[in-house]
Amino acid sequence: MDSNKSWVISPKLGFTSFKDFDDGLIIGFRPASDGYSWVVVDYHGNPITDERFNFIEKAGEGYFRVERGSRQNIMRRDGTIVLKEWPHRVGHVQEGYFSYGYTRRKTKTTPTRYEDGVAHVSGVIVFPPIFGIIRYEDGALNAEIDESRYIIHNGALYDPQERHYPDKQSTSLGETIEKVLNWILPGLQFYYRDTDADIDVEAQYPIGHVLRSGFYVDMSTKLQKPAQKTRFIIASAHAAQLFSDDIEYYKKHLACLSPNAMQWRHAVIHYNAWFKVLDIYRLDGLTQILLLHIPESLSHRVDCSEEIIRFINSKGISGLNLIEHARQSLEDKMKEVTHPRSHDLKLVELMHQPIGYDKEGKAYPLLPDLTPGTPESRAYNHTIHRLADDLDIVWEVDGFPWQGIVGSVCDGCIYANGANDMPFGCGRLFQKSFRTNYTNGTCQYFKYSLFEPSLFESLATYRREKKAESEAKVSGRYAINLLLDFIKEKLDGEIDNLINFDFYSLKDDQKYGPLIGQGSSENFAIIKSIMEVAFGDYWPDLNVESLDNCIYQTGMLINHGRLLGGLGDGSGITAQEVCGVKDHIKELAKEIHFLDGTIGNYVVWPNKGMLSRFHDDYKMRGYIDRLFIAIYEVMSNAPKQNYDVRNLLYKNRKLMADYKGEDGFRKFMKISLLEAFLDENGKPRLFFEGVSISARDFNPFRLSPAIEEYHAFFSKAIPARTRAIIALLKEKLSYLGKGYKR
Amino acid sequence: MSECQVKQIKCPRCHYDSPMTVWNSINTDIDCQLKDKLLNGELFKWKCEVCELEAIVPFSTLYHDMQHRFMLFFEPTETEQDEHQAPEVIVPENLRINGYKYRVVHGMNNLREKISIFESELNDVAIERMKFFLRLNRENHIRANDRLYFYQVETGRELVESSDCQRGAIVFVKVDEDDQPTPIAFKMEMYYDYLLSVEKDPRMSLSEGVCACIDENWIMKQMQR
Repeated sequence: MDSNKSWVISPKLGFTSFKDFDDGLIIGFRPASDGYSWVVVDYHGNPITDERFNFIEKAGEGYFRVERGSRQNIMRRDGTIVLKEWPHRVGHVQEGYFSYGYTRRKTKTTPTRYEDGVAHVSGVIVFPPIFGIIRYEDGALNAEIDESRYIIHNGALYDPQERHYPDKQSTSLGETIEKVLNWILPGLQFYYRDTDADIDVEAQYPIGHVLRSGFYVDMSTKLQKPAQKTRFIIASAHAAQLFSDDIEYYKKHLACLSPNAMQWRHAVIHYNAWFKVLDIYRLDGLTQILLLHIPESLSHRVDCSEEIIRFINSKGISGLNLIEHARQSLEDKMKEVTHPRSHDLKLVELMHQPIGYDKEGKAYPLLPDLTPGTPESRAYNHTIHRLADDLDIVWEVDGFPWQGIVGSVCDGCIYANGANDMPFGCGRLFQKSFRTNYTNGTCQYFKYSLFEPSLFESLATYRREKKAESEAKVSGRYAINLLLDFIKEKLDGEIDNLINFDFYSLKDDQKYGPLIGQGSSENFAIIKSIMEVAFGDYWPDLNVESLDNCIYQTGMLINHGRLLGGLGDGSGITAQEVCGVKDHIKELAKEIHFLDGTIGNYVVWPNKGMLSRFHDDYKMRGYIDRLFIAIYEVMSNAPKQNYDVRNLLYKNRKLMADYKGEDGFRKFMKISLLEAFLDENGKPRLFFEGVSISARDFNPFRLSPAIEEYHAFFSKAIPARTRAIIALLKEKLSYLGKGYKR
Repeated sequence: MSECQVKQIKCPRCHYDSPMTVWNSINTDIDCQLKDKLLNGELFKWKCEVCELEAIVPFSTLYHDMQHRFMLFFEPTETEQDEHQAPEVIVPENLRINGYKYRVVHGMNNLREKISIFESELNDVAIERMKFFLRLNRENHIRANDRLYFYQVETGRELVESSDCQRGAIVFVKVDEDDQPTPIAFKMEMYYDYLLSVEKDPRMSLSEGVCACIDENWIMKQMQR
């Protein structure tokens, strides 16, 4: 509708909804019986193409993602389709490129495979489906081949480990100096740390000396006149600032690290950080020690300190060099008053220890401390590294970009020391896997201690347990054990108590409730176990494992949703209330609902074609008697048959090999304890009128009689079937009990 | 060794026959002066001995570089962009040498480019793929009718030290509709990225003993498979 409230797209065109109006085209929904209801139209409702689709959504950059059945494609704004062959999925369009993929279903010998490729909106197949799943991360398409990660850009592949590049032509000293200076200088600022600790300045901090901090160095970005006798003034571009001018950001991300950070202007340098002593300056009885924060490499790998210090100490625009700046700072601050935070006892205590020395005054070793910590300490460790952005400069080692262990994924792992600070493998992995994990920043072999399992070990244990559980499920041990435990724990040791047990009460139960599949009661572990024990003799390979794998499916006889509607939990008006159903009928409805959760309501179906819920459609309206009649008609080869049911029975023909023809149907009903649905001639009967509150022909006056009719049948049939199942279970358990071992 | 034969060419003006040396094959390692003559077009020049009419008489030849291990089957006629790809030629068994590259080349400019690629020890499939995507990327301002040829790899020390092209630069020449050449350079890393993609993309591999014409048409066909 335009601003004059006249229709731009007339309702006569039959569209029921539109979305994404903004770019000259509209995605419209026009119901169609074949399911192809989505079209792209202009503002006058004219489709840009004759083609219709199952679904359409925006795919970015003005393109549309269109769906036909299980296949997707990209559509241009002129209605043309990009890919000739329709893949199973297409990704978002980014700079004209998009990922597409196929799912190769598993076979007897191969698992399900996902094969992805990249295409261009011009229709060019940039890469055929040779990758595992392609993800859009960090502004680029990331793909994997044989566990190696690649970045796809402009039709080319980039290996983040740069194994495909030859060595650079020259790596001069000048280049190293440039790298180091690029680490030290951008963002360089002074931090202050005052202490009254006893320090032998000449012995502990000779000029030019390099030391490692050894502990988290707490500092403030601003202190005025020192209140203590020694001031460390630290020139660093890689301190983690724990405060932020953005209060919301601080509260959300930083307050947990330091609750007083805003008050103190709190900053922290990591315990694996290196400093070079640049200057000692004494003024009015106070000593100021100037430390320069340097990258790890400069502490022991390269010796170009002199050139670097000379460069850093060259005079800047202000005419002062770094040392002169530091001295000027102290002189200026001596004229100021002491800042209140210099007297904050908590901060004073945090700043007490002299940098680079332990409490006994012993210097920390220069090599990094890679002692494994706890998950909590590792989290803090990584947070400080991330905030400080203090990873070492990048070195080319054997063509591999190496930044050392500190701050990497290996930091804090018990295997890290095995790497000897080189990228040739660690205490757990060989070179190739080590480099891959190092580059990717994730390692499933990471371990805090020998006694804590790594992710890899946890997964291996999980797989072992799953395999053992699967074997137990196939062998029947699982089902019997679970049933025996269930009788003991939930039925007070008496199987007859099963008659009134409401299985819905197990919906949150970790042992007997939903372990695999949807959380509906048919998927409860105990239901599957009972089905196996009770009916396992009548179906080939019926066990919990085959139920888990959906070779068989547990279904329910009562399907009251279309008859009873909601039961009135106070959250809204139910169909029964709307239809004026009387209280005693409502009670009957509640009873039906209760019967729904008892074991007599559950029945095993072969599931190569899904029969268990087939009657829950608009034709059968949820009435199981109609399904039995349809099955009978097919199995007895009646002249009028439901062809959908015929197809399903054909799909299930191998599992139903013992149940063929009219006799087969009766046998099926007998072993499934469903004879209550048969008449005296062994034929299925229509028991219910078929009232459905969601049907067009629903007559509210027929609801109460229908509920009465439904209740009358199932209130007898379900308890009778429950008793029959209990009898079967008793028989099986007594037989097994003779020589059964858990 | 290079092979030649003398053929009589009938002059279109005076109709007298005059001889012309037609080279069936050119071995650049043995007859290196022939390479220069081929590349500057002198090899195809013919002059009528009677009326002194000069003309260009192009002929097909086999270009053989033993040092860089490649053979080019040269056809003087250029293929049109939308022309269908010629069927791939199978190299006769007696000509096949392990590690050799065999190609069919159409047109003088393509010949010069192909020689330059192989003499620079580069992969011509990766170069064609790179050219294809350079065209596709609008930021490079290469128009549909512009021709793009590989020129050379720059590895001068000055370039390496003065820029971040530490592995050198790859230089192409863009020739526009007015035949104006413009050099355009890219980091050599970009070529290695395309080389990696060629190694991983199964459509880019060539069968053993096949002599293909690796050019714009070929890459276009492969990219639509």
